[in-house]
Amino acid sequence: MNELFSVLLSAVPLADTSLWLGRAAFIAVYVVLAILLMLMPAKILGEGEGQPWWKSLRLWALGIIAVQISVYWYWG
Amino acid sequence: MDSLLQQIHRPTLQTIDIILIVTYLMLVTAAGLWFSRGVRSSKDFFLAGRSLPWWAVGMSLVVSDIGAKDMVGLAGDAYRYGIVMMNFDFIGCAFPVLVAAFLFMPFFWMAGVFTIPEYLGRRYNVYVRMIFALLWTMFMVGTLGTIFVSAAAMFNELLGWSFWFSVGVTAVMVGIYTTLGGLKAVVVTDAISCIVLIVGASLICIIGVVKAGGFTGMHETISQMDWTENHFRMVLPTDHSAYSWPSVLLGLGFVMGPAYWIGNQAIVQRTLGTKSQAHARASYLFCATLKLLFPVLLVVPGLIGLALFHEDLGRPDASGFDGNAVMPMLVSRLLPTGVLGIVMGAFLAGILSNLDSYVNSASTMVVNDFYRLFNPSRSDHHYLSVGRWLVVGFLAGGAALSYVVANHFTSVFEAFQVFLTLFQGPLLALLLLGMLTRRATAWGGFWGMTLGVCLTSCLHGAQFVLGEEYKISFLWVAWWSFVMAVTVTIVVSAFTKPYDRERLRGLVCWIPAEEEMSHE
Repeated sequence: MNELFSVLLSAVPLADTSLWLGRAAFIAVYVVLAILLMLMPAKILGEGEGQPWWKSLRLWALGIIAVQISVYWYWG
Repeated sequence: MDSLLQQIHRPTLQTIDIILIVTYLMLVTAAGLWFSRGVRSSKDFFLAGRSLPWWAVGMSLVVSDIGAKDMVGLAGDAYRYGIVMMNFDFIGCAFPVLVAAFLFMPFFWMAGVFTIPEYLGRRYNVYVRMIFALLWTMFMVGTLGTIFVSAAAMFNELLGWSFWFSVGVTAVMVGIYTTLGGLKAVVVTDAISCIVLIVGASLICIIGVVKAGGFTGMHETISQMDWTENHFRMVLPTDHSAYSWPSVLLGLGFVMGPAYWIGNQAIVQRTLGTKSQAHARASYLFCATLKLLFPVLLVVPGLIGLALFHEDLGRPDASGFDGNAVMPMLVSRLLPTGVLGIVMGAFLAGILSNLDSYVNSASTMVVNDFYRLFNPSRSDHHYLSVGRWLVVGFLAGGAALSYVVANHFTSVFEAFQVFLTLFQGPLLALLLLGMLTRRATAWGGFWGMTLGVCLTSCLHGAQFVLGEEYKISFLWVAWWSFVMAVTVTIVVSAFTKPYDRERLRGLVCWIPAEEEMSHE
């Protein structure tokens, strides 16, 4: 680690914390994204009433997020 | 590079391998030529007449991002660093793709633009548009150079072709259908390439993992080495020189990934070629779903190489180590007859799809963000013709640059990422501020972009002026250039006058376009 890099790194408040915090940070990003998606109005997403579940883009997106959270949980 | 690669036993292609390779090449070229029939206007050439199906665009997005440079480069970096490289397809891809699909793509769609610099030009000013178009074009030509190097490495190893012969053959193959067919031919051939790429990469992983004693055996072998303590962690300690977790999260997850998937012309152009907003969003989601496979398909080969061939390849910190040799060694030593043909097809798929995507997008940007500005009243046929000639020019430029890439970077993946960081931070800063606030002014954006790019150049240049110990991870460079661009844009905007509300209609998300309001 060079001197300049250390100076830059010191400006990041999370830099001196442990690996579990790193894992939590990655998972938190996906959790926040999932919450935003769940709260997004159906009108904005173009979801109509009576639409089959497998055509819901929101549901597919949440599935991808669930996979990502699992990956960082186990291998983070 | 040659010394290590020359030590690898060159496999013999059998008749079945050659049949598979020729069949694939004929299929791709025929499909490309077939779909070039309907190209009559510049809109057909650059946006495929907005008629592309979501699944084809989703597959095209995958192979526009993943190519031979990733197969060769990521295997080498996975050998050196381990599964942390999966972050490039997880936090660096899945996260920003979802953000792009649900937040940004609808916005570009409503703005009705051809290119991202076009949006920036309308939101800020023509200088911002032209400089970003120039930066993107330079990046794309640089990337073409990295792709040509990957192609040459594989052709040299598998077929014994010389560097320049490999580059020439690749350029001609891609040039034929990309020049004639435009975006539609590119997307259709990409969809075929995506399937071949997945099959080929899967075969390498399956055969390699079995020979390495399964995942357990591979894990045990690698864990016994004295320099691989972090190889099975995706989150690395904060003092890691290349991929500490704060740099991955901030630099890759928050800057490079979003800038690439939201602001990359090669990506956005495909989604703008779909039939509707819903199709565009579905294409992004299909891409994100397919991309969940690729971290495994691209990183596991590096681990297989480490478990099976570490004595031949050596330690990454030893002199003479060549990360680009990992994948050719796997291919030459592991694959039986028949399978070799499929994997060669996969490499060709990665090369062709990457090349056609970048030349088509670079051509689109130069025509729309430069040529049209200076020659506004020419016929549509004229722009179409210029776009086709530019494809030829970019292929020639990329081929020439491949010589520089081959001689100045240790891995093609590193070269690609360094090119990418030059302007991704400022690009994302201007996109975010431009979309989210009307207070960001034209000159704020201009100076934010200029000083952000200057900072990037200084940080990358530090190692050349001050010495190798001042080398900074490209992830940190991306983050700090983003911070610089945001700060300067805000400060300069505070002292300059913003555009009025009507001027920004449809360009800032809080000020919808007229047609959006009429829908509500």
